[in-house]
Amino acid sequence: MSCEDTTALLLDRFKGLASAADERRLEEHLAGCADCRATAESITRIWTDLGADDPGAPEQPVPSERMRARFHAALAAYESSAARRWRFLPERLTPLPLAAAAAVLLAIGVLIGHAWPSARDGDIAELRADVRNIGLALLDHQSASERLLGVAWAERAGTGPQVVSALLERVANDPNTSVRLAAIEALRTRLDQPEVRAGLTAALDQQDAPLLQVTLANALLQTGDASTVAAVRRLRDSSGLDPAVRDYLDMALQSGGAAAPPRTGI
Amino acid sequence: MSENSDSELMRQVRDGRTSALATLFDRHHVRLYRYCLRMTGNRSTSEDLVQDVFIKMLKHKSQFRDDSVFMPWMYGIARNACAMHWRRAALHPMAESDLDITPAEPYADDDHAGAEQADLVRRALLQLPPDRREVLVLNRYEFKTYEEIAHALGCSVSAVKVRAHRAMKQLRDIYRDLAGEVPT
Repeated sequence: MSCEDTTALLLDRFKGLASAADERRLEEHLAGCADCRATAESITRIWTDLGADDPGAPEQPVPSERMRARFHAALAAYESSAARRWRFLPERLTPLPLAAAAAVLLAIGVLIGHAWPSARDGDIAELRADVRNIGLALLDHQSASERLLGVAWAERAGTGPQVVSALLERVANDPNTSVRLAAIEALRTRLDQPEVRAGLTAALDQQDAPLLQVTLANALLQTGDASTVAAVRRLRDSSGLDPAVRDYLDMALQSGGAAAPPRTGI
Repeated sequence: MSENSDSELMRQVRDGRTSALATLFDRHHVRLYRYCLRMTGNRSTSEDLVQDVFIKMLKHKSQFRDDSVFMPWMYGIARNACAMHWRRAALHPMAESDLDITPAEPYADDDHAGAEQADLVRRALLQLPPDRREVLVLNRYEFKTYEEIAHALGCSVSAVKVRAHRAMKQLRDIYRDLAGEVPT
């Protein structure tokens, strides 16, 4: 054994837990190690002194009566407060009923949340209306760049009739070519709506710029609708049309849809 | 009375028969008081701690499981109560004169030298860090085997042995400082 084991073996000895082999090893080591003999002597003295005049020793008085009186007062107070508690609650809640109760409460909460429109829902609806008004106002703004922002918003805003109407208004009457082009592109995804097709068809006659004529004609031919094809034919036959646009429309009408854009000076 | 019957009584307390705690109090309050006194060195603090321990048993009775054993559970609560006491004591330290580590009766002259030495050992014990003091108190006074101590502390037997011999070495060093002895 090493010197490190001395204290542990001494503790085993004090508690009567050291085996005969441990005792022999300890004695042999102590016989040959002066340091450990000194350690053993001091530790044995401390262990003994810990037991002498021990404040917790049986001969020392314990204030049992006072402690008992305090304990019984505390117990009575606890029992009386427990008696006032709701009686339908079991004394000891196990995890399964707790989980079931939590699930039921959660379900009730979700149902109430869905059935009961909250003030927050109202706020959100109000906010959406405000955003729509701002978007529509942008579409009617004096500045072309603001109107382009309005078109970009309208493209994301969905298919509300007010939005479609505002975009068609831009296609027909906007003084800026870029805004008209952007509005046509925004409406291209809504060609399944009859009012969009009708509005773009009506706007075709009002376009003077070759680029707008070609873009709008392309969009209308995409639908394959007879009335829109007829409108494109009317445009092709109209007097004063740019020859490059006419050639392009011829080609597009023959192929039954959009064709590569013409080479115009624009 | 066997340990099982203590555990059975505590299960009754848990299941609503709180009056069974009175029997457990009668059986264990002296032992708990002595443990707290050895740990804190103060009689009135120890009385309060015993009270705390039994109130906590009531409050946390639902945590006593079917397979729980009463004695380690009780010592676990007592250890927490002592730790709480030391946290409070760190904020409001006790004066040396508040320690009740001398016997209630005065020493006879013949016993004086030995009693002074024992007094010094006890002061050294109270200067040990609480976790080391705890393992020594349990080892010296409370339990006969390391298995019981390991159960009460919730650690392995080998951990108890290591902690106990380190605590004993540190106690010896503190004792030497207090006694003005020169280390060998």
